[in-house]
Amino acid sequence: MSEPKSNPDRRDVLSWAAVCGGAAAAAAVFGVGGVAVWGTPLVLEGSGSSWQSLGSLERFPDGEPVKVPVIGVRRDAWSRSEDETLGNVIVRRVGEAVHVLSATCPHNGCDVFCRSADSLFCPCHDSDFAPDGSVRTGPSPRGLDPLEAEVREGEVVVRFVRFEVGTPERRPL
Amino acid sequence: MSEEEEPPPSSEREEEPWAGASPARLRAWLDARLGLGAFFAALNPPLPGGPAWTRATGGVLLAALALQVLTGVCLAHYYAPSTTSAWGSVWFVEHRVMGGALLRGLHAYGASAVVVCLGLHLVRLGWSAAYRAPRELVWLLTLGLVPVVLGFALTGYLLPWDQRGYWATHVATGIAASTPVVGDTAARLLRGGPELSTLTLSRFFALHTLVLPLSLCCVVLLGLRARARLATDAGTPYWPKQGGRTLLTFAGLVAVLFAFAALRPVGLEAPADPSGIYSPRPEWYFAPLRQLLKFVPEPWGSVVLPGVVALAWLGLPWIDPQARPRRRLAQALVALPVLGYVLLGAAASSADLGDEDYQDARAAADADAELALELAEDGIPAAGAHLLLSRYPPRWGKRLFQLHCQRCHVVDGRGGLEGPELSGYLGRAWLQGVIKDPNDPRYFGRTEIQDMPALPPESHHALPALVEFVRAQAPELGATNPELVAQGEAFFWDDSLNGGESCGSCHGLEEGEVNLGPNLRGYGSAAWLKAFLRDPGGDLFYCDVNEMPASDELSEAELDALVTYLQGLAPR
Repeated sequence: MSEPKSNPDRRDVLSWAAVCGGAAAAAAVFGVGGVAVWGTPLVLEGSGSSWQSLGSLERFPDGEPVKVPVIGVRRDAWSRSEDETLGNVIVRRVGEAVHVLSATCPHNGCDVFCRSADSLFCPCHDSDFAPDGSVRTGPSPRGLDPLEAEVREGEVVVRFVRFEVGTPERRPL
Repeated sequence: MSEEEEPPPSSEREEEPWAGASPARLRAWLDARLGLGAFFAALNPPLPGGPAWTRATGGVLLAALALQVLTGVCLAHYYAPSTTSAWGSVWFVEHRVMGGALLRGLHAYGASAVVVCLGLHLVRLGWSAAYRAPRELVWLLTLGLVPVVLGFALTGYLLPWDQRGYWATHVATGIAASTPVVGDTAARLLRGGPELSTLTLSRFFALHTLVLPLSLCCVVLLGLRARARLATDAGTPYWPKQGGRTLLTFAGLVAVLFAFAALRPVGLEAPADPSGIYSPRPEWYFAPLRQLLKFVPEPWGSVVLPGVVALAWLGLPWIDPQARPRRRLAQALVALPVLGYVLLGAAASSADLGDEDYQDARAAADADAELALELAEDGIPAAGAHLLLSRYPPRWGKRLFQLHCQRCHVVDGRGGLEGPELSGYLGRAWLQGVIKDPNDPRYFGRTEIQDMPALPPESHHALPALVEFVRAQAPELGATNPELVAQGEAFFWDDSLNGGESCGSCHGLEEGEVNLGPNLRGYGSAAWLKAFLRDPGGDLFYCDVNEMPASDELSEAELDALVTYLQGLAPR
């Protein structure tokens, strides 16, 4: 009964426990909050896909790939704007059918252009693609991404999608 | 002389707190309260080797970083980080803020200067084995500046939200995305979402102005602290001999920066446009890495090789310690990557100079930039600076034409064969062709519009005058020769030209005059074209032989743009 209720060592241990507990609680609260706020981009949705008109079939010469912009509604975080350019596609008409490729290079996302009737070329790292989109030379991990397209009453329509770049497999955004 | 004017005796001075205040006393007073002595001592370390010009690298690097902070703070007063406002706010700095272009030039070229200084400083430390114990931490912290400085460069490049920054970031985040396993996560965290967006811009702004400067502060303060801790008593004090050399070198650097900013303005490219035809190039100090990717495939060229070099440099204190020196190896490890870097950089720039496609793309980008800057003088749309170009009537009109008109009309060899070809539309050659033989397949030959007879060959002498008269109906087409116009008017009413029927017998020239052919009052003018496009089958135009659909779905602004494009198809 005569000995003190707690000695200095025991008091220190309790204090340290309180400090550690408080620190852990703070770390948990701020950590979870920080991860939630900072990591939100991991769960944000991409723009998905949408059918867009590319104008009439006659616009496109037979057999020769042509690069055209895709116009549609663009959503950017909180904003929505009409008649914006969503991206570029490369259209190759074969008779009454069309083959449409995304003009975004699957390597780093640069803009591929039609160097000649026989070559689609990325100016960033010199990837060269055949008109059907397959890689001939260069660092691109996959061929140009084909897009679903058809001719409806003389008008070319395409389902515009973006894909992740730099990966061998196609991951729509 | 009175007693007051005599200098007080020294004993009285002690009681007056401010009497006889000297810098030394003020310093002692402050030191007692703030402990500044250690701080000042850290700023004036003794140099065992004595002063040298090569030792200026570290001090110049610090000063260059301080200059970046100063110019950056000034720029942040005007900058507005969002995709709709960023380009405009930077344009405002460049063109409206007094000295703004110079300020931006200093900041942009200053970034290059920081990279150069850091490189030189690292090479100097590495070459002279300044990483050996107990200076390992100074070396590691200096190396720690590399990701911070490159982070500044990467994030700062995007902020103007022009084509250059947008596309370079597209590539950079693309490289992040191609990293195995963590690529997707890394790219999303960098971009602030799955794609480059306004969230990328706000994220980069936060990194550039808050996160990275704070990291820089920590690294620099820790480094200086470690350096002060290691200072020996022997040696010449830093100030004034070494400090003078450092300041002089820095002054030279600032002069060079001013010269660059004034003589080669950084400029602003056209606003970012995801559909832009653009050949991106990174800042010059990333060019060697880009060139490496052409020789060494990914991930060897992008991650493995740079990673090995980074590890080797980090490991120098343990590769070449005092106890078991391997100086030659260490110097090779320092020199070879630098040599390779310089060679790759030279290869990159010569590759671009010889690349015609790239030079063409460059010229197109410069033209876009010039046009955008010119249009910006009139005010930048609040909905986004990219509208400057995409809503520029001749371009907008062309896009609308491609979407709505090219199905039936050929321009520049492309388009459908239903209606008249429109290359050179409303130009003298086109009008001559139509008047000479409207039923030629190039004109109305493939349509139901077949009533206008061809002009007989013996009347062809009237063509130039007739064309001039028709063009005179639209003031904006610019009929330049009044004599010819008057002659043309006479021919217009002359019924001998075409076997008894004059042009005027079928084409009305009065407002609202309905006749067999289209009314030509104001023919080719914006008002005429708009009325025609709205109702091509109307009484004033092609009536029941018209096959062209009315442009109902086009807005007034779109119609204006289309008309501007149509009027621009022929040279004036």
